[in-house]
Amino acid sequence: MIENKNEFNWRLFWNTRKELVLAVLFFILSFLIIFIGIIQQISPIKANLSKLKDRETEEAKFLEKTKQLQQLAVDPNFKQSSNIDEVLPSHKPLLEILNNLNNVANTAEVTIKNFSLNPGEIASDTTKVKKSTTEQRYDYLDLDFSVSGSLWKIQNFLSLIEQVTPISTITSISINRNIDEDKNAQAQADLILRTFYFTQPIKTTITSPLPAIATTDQQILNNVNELIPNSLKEQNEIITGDRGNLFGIQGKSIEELEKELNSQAASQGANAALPSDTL
Amino acid sequence: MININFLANRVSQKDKQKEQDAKIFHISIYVLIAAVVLMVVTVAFEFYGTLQISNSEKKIKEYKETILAQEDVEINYLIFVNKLKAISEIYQKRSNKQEAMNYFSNTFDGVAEVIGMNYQEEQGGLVLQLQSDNVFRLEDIDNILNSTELRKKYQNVEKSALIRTDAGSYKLTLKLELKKELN
Repeated sequence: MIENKNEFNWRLFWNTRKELVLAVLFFILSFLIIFIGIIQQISPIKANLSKLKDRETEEAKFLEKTKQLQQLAVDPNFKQSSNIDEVLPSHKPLLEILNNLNNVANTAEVTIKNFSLNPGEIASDTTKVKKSTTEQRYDYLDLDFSVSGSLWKIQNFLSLIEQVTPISTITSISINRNIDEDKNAQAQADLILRTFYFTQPIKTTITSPLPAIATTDQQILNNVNELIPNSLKEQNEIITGDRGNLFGIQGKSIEELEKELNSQAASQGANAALPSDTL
Repeated sequence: MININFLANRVSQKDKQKEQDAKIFHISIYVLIAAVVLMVVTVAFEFYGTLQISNSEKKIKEYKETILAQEDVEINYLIFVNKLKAISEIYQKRSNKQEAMNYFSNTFDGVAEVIGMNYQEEQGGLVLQLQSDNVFRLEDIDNILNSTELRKKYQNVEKSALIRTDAGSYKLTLKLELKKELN
């Protein structure tokens, strides 16, 4: 009986102090909610916020690039890219140089002599004629030649040759004129014409922004528009020439040709034997 | 008969305790409600963040597809810009040699004959050889070379050699510094 009196009476405690028991339970529940539902969620929320910030930055970059690419379609500068390709081609402009040289010499009425050029491997666009640093955006072909004519015509030639596309620069000029014997002596100019072509490899990533065209580049665009375009037409088809059948064997099989040749040989042999018979 | 309540103290103590328990109970309810509200807000915030990330990733995917679809345009543009820069570099190396040649030929027309010109891009300068028939023409050349108009255009003109030929004519060599075309 004494033992029973010492034992804590839960039922009595619940009946008399129900609110306190519930309050304690609620406090424990609140603590659990705060600890599990809030404090534990702080670091995932932080990580989420940081991830969201990164994504938003990335998104802004992509959006900017998409807008830039859309604007390119109406960019008046970019519309001139074909002109720029003509001025600085991505291939060795060997044919263009020769064509220009011929046209400009005809226009300036000068005669070209002692022509020498080392174009390297013509078939390959990447083969370099002269060693240049890897940082360089372009390479060049040097053409050594002489022109003769009156001095003003040579000067006219020098001016014109630097005004045609692809872009060329005269890097060496040596003009001599001997007027001691003849006052109207023609001048001879030994020249080196350097024609440039583009060799820079282009690399890009999806995130890299598009470069802007600087004001100095804008000035270049204006200068480029003043150049005389090359008259050489791009050849992108094989021209057969339609010269007819040069050997006269069109539409004949090998057997027919053999027969024809044999009969021709036999008739020639008979003709050769005829004079001895007639004697 | 006198009624004595021996539990009077005990009852008032119990009532006090009950009031206190009720107070604690109310506080615990408020705390619980606050905790639940905070938890809901936290979960909602996290959900909103995840939703935002998902939206952002979706947009990034769309933009990437658009950019990749326009890859050719981008490469063409990069080539265009780099070609412009290359042309700019080429122009910066160019000097006004033709302009100088034409200027000196025209300036000395009737006074002297231009009998030689030499230009090397690496060295930069232009060497001109003039021939005058006599000493008076040579003096005219000298006057032109010292004129303010010529000096304004070409500040660095150096007379490097003067030769008298057997025929009595004079050959004068001039060295002049050229300006770059793009400045």
